[in-house]
Amino acid sequence: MKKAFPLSTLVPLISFLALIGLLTWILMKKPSNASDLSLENQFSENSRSSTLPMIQAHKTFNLPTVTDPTRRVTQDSFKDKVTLLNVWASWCGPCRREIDFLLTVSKIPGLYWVGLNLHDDLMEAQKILLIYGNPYHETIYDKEGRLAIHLGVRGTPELFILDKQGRVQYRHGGPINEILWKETIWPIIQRLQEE
Amino acid sequence: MQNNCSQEIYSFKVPMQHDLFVKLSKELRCIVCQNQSVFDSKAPIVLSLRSELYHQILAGKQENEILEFVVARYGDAIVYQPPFNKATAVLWGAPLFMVLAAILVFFNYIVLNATKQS
Repeated sequence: MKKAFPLSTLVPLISFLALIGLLTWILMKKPSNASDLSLENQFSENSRSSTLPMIQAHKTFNLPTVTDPTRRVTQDSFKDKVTLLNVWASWCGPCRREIDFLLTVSKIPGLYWVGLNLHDDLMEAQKILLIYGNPYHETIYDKEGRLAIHLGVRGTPELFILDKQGRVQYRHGGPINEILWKETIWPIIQRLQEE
Repeated sequence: MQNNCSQEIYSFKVPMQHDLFVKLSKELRCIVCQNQSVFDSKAPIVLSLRSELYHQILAGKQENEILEFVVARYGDAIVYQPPFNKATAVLWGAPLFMVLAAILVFFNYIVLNATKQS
């Protein structure tokens, strides 16, 4: 009698094909955003839905500005308006390359732009704003990075959108560009401004 | 970069606070380099995080309060032992599933062979 073909021998082949299929699907899937691939977003569900960090949480925040170190900025600067807060540093190359785009969008009326200069040398930071242009209404000088930690900053450049209560509603790690602005950032700003 | 690790000195008057500082910074993953802990890392942003831990501990904050603060900002992935929830279910479940599957396959193989021989 001919030996019956055991179905179980197909298990490795089927698992292998399933794995190939899965990997192909992941590879072909259009990433909605490059940062979706990073570890941070794999578990971000709870940080997005529940309590996002609030600037108000840092009651004592009182920092000088880059352009005029005698002037101080506090959490009150973020009241009653939608704020775009961009983290940057003079030692950060991608930050320099995104300034041109920032200068373009900072011309849109009704937006409040804040720079957060991180771990930097004051003179070097001032130099950047003079040479490349200054897209910000205010640039906070955060040498120690305390405000950055309170916001949940991971690196430079990084953009935060704060609502009228000063709460973080969106963050993007890495430089921003026109596509991201049109597809993601601008709709969020419009929604927050209507609130 | 302006920050220099040699300038980083954290002194505690209360030994328990010192222990909490070491424990917390070893429980947290570096934000930049995921194979290092906050205790080990020399990344400037982690230097700021360490200093934040220090200030919160000196201010008398409890361990769970500080962890809550950090996780709210950096997500579950920052703790080496992320909590079990919907987002991390696959992460925690996968090894268990693989072990069970392996046992099943192995057992099946042995039993089949044994019945064939008898």
